[in-house]
Order: sequence, then structure tokens, then C-alpha cells
Amino acid sequence: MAKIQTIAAAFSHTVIPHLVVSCDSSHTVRFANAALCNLIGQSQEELLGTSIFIASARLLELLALTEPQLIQLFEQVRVTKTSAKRLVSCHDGSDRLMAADIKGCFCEIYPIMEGSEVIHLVIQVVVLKGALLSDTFEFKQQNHSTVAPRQSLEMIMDSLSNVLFTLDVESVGVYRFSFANRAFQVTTGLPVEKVIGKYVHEVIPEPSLTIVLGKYQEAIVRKQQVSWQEVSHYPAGQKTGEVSVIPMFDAAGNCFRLVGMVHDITEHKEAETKQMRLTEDLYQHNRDLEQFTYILSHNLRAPLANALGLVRHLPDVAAGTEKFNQYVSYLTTSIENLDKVLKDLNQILSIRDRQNLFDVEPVALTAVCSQVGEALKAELAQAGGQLKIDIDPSFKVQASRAYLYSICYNLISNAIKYRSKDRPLHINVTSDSTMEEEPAIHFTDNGSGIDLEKTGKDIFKLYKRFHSGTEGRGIGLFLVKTHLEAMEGHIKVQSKPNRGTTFSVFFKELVR
Amino acid sequence: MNIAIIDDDPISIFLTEMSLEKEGVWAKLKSFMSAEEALQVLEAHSLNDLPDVILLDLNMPIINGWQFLEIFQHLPAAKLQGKCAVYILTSSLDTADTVKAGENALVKGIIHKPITPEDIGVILLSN
Repeated sequence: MAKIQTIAAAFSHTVIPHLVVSCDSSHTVRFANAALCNLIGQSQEELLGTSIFIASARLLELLALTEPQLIQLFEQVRVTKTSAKRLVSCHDGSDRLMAADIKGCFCEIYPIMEGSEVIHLVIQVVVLKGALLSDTFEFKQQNHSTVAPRQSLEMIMDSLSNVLFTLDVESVGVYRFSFANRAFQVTTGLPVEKVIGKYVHEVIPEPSLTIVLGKYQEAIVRKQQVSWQEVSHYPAGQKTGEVSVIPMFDAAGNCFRLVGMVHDITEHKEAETKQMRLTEDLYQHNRDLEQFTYILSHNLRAPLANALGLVRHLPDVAAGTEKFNQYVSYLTTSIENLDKVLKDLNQILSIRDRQNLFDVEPVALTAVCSQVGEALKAELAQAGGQLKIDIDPSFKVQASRAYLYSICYNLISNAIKYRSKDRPLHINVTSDSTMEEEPAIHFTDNGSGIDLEKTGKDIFKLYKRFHSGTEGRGIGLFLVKTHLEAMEGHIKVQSKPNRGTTFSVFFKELVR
Repeated sequence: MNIAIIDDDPISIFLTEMSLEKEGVWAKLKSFMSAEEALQVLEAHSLNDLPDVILLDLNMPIINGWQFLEIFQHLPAAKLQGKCAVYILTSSLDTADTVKAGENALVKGIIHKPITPEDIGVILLSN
């Protein structure tokens, strides 16, 4: 069985001594790697199939544990289903395998689960003097004939959440999968049976293929582990992984195998991207707020400066004269304007607070538009205009009714305000739910239009006006945009001077 | 002295006119409600008819004060050379506007609304 040999070989290369025992009361040894055999001075044949306590009094001695203590540790791991770590002192300086300056080691016991059952225990011995690790536990010869119980090994590999695979090097640049663990299947979505035995170019898609082949070659030439980050498209979706390959060489110095590991960092990458978007949004929002403060202070100052100037003159103007009346009238207007700006501020802040969004409900756009049409009936008649509402009655959105009313009111009253003098006004309001992602309402008029090349993005900005005279305060479209954004929608405009304008209002989704 | 006021706010124009009158400025006043209107008229003026002083508002629809200056400085140079003194007359207290005004060769000064007798004194002294 090529597969078992491969696994056993890969496992036996670990310099940290490992021992796998069954979880039943006999604690039969199922697998021991070469490093462990060297450490306790017994061969694999002696160890396998026997109870750990009979086979390895030597191990207990090395770990300075008594049999009851070890059984107690086993029991603890079996019950808690979590690993147990225990610091032990490796005494005996005369030990032939232990260097004199090794101060201690710890033993970790962890469970291998099948479902909710602990079926095997793995004992791992780690010497605290890392530098001496390889000297101390270096295995003397590679034992390819080691036949580890197949199930134990597979379970160890499959219990890992990182992707693990081995590639046999058949000739220069030709690699064939000889092993892949369960995580490989989970991460890529490719069934393990369909991967093992396949060549790399049959499994890994371009453009990743070119990259990985280059990296494999690099690992072989440099005779060391090579790591890189990689994005690939697999049946399970786009995956970002941190990949490492380690080359293995035979006695003649030829690379016969690559051991690969992939740490799936897709979620991490996605979170990173999301965070970046969030930061950009916040940055934009902050800039909007700065702009908003600047504009507001300016628009508060304008009527205030007028009032201040007028009041300064007033003591010198004879009461009751026509000029005096003019002053009083302008003073009133200035203070009223000041009041309007403060009211605007209040309104905008309340939308920004999103406090009104607590009373959202499914609202039919056709009903809201008809209501607005009714409210603007007099203005429409005076302008000699026609309003045609053609909205699918099933076009309903989860929204604040007051916001929707404000949006429709502003857009329709704008169309009346900025109508063309050359032709009778026609306003058409239509719905468009062909794009499921972005259901839209279009407000189209044949009015005087806007030169969008000149106005650009300013059209939705606060207190920006595009017509001379006092008509319009430059808040309507700003409110429309703010209302929509509070409901996670957005607005677009198309216009041709002297032809007309279409405002398209997009909503997040329709109510089913 | 000829003075032109360019401002889209009629109350502000009224106040500026009254302030000048109050200070006894014996001037020919011409007021424009928009920058376009002002540009049209100024372009058609002969050198002698150009105003000595322009009081220019910044925050106006369509063409704002800065855009006006941009166009105005491209009018035939002979007409402008030392002829028109432009003063920004704004309700803005933003220091960025003050800095920008200082950098513009056409602008002689920036006045914050409402215009005061002192401001008018300075204009009269330097023109």
C-alpha cells in the first residue's frame, strides 16, 4: 500500500517523538515514530500491539511519571476531550540518549476523536532545549518498512485543520499527488480520491499552476522549505492560502518527495477587504461631515451678517418712512432665513441619526406618488403640466413613509419649478424592477434640464444652487440623497439642457 | 468713482448700497445679481466706463466669485491694467478664502459682511 508507506514515512520524519495508543483500558500502542523508538531504546516491532506500560517502562522512567499518574492523565484527556500538558524533568544525566544539559521536557497528551468519542491518545514528548532536539532525537536510519496501523495515521492527518499533502517527484518538474488529507477536500472542494494519483497540472488550475511549479522547483534547488501566499479558484470558491513545501531527499541527494501544507487564510483576507471598505466609507463620511459643517456655518453667517448690518443702520433711519419699512422688511426676511437654516440643520441631523428608521414598513411607491401628485395638484395646474404615474402596484419597499414622501415631493416639485417655458410640462414616474438587485423608480421630465458637465457632483450638495434668483434654496436634492442613503438606497441623474431630466431612485430591495 | 456690486442676495446688495450712501460716497453704483450678468456688461464696456471698484460676493449659483475672477482676468488686458480694484465681499469667515484672496493678483482685499464704515474708508483711501 503505497499510501500507508507515504504517510508513515512523512510521519516518521517528525523529530518530535510521537506515540499513538488506543484509548481502551489496555492502552495498546498503535504507532510509534523513529524519534520515539530512539529515545526509549526499543524497536517498533517491540512496541506495536503491546500495552504501553509493559512495552515502555523506559518511557515512564524518562518522563519521571508513575504508571498510575500516566493512567490518570489518559483518563483526564479521555473525559475532558482536551489535551493535557505536563512538565516533567528528565533526570539521569548518564542516559546515553540525553545530553547532559537538557534541563527538562514536557509531555503532551491529546485526543483523536471519531465523532464525539475519543478513540486514540497521542503522546508527544518535547524537549525544552530546542537546539539539541535534532542531535538527541535524530533517527539513525530511515525505516521505509514501517507499517503503521492505517487508521490511526489517517485520523491524525484528517484531524488537522490545515491542508496537508505529499507529492512524489517522478522526474524534473513532474509531480504526482501521493497523499492529501481531509482538510484538502474541505478547503478546495476536490474529493481526495480524485486527487491522489493525479499530476499537479491536472489538479491545480492556472494561473496558480505556474506559480506553484516555480515554488516547488525553488524548494528543491534551495533544499529548504519555501512559503508563499496564493489565491486559487476551486470548486469550494476563491481561496487564499499560505502555502509551504518541504523537499525530502534520498541518500543520493535527489528530491523524491515534497510535503506541502496550506493554511487557509480566506476568511482573514475577506475580513481585511471588508475592513478596508469600511475605512473608505468612514473616510468619505467624515469628509461629507466636514463639508457639511463648513457649508452650514457659511449659510448661517449670510443672513446673520445681513441682519447685523441692517440693525446697525436702523437707529439713523427715520421711523415711519418708506426706507424704514424697507429695513424692517429686510430684517424680518434675514431673521426668517436664519431660522430656516437652523430648521434645515435640525432636519438633516434627524435623518443622519436614522431615528425615523424605527418606523419602517412596507410602502407601495404608487400610493406615495399619487399622494404627492394630489398635494401638488394646484402647482401642477398653474404650470399647465401633466403628471403620469405608471408604477407597478407590487413595487413595495421596506421604508419610512415620511422619507419616501419627501423624496417624491422634492423630485416632482423640482420638475414643476424648473420646467421649460417653451413646451407644456410632462412628468412621468415609472417603476423598473427588471434588475432584482436594484429596483428603481424613474422621474422623467421635459423641463429645462441641467448642464451636468458644469454642475457635476455638486447637484446633490447642500445649498448648491444652479439657477439665478431666489427660487430654490439648494436643499431639496440634498435631502433626497440623504433620505435615500439612510435607507441604503442611492440616486442617479441624467439630463440634457433644454431637453429634460431623469432622476433614478434605487432601492436596496423590494418587499416580497 | 464707479463701483460695481456683484451679489446674488438682494438684501446684501441693499445693505451695501445703503452703507456706501451713509458714508457719503459719491459714486455711480451698479449692482449685478449674478456673475454672468456682470461679465456680459463688463465685457461690453469701454475702458473709461469700467468700474473703479468691484465688490464681489463668493457664494453664488452657476458662476461663483472665484470662477468670475478666472474669466474676468482673461478679458482684454488693456481694459484691466490697474483699472479695476476687486474686493471680495463675503459672509464667509473661512480662512481658506482669505488665503486664496491674498494669492490672487486681481484681488485687492477681502471684506467680511456686513461692510463697515472702516472698510469703506480703506477703499476710498486706496482708490
